[in-house]
Amino acid sequence: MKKLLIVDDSKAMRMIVRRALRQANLGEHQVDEATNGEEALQKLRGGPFDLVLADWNMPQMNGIDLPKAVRSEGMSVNFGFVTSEGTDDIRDLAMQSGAQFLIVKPFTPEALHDALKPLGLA
Amino acid sequence: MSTRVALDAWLAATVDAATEFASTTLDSTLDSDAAIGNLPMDLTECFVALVGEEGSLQIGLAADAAGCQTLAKALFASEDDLPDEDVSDALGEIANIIAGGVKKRMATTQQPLALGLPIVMEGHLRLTERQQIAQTDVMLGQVPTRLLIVCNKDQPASKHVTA
Repeated sequence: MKKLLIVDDSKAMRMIVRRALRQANLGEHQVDEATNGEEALQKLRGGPFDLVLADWNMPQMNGIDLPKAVRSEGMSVNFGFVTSEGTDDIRDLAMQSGAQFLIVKPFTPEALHDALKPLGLA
Repeated sequence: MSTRVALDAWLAATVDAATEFASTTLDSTLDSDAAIGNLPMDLTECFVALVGEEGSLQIGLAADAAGCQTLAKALFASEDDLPDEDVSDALGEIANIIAGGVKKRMATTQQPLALGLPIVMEGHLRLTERQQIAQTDVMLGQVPTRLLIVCNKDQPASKHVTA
């Protein structure tokens, strides 16, 4: 079973991502949540995840710092951003940080599916 | 060209972004031609700032209490009424998504813009002499909703249309 971690300070957005994951025909998967980068890092230290889906702007540790922190601790996990920040500059920064994809809000379950397919998660 | 026209360009981008939000996230529609009666003076409003080096503007949406509850329940896929904190969270996320859409749509005509944090408030918006507003009332799903742009009259963000 695939294990996914949603990282977003908005409860509403975590709910939207959960719903999109259900609708994206990913097969069996388990979803956990974190409200910021620090909390996500703690959960990642606790066991392997197949994918982190993170917001960009968050308190404490923002999305862009999270993949760097993950790498600095020697952990390996697929990483994608789900964010309102959809400009080319932000996309470039996301890829430089080690993310595999960036999905711009609002998004469809199909867009999520298409992003996860190359990673073998859909 | 007047500042009014420039602000209207921002408002058009806001309506476009809200329409995309309605279809993709709410699985609904936005009707900008719907016959909407007068919205009450006191609404719940949520604003997200778009901040650039030369100024900022506020992208906002507003609805009455029942409308905010309906939007939040649609976002949370909940049939039960939600507590105020969840309604505020939902409004903030909607405003954030719409503001992100505006930023994307206006990127080619603007200096780089950063998204601010959502602010939710209740009551009647009061402008100073230096500020201006553009607004339009739409049906966001089944909710009469006001979309707003607020900025200072003298900032470059309000003058980018110069044709």
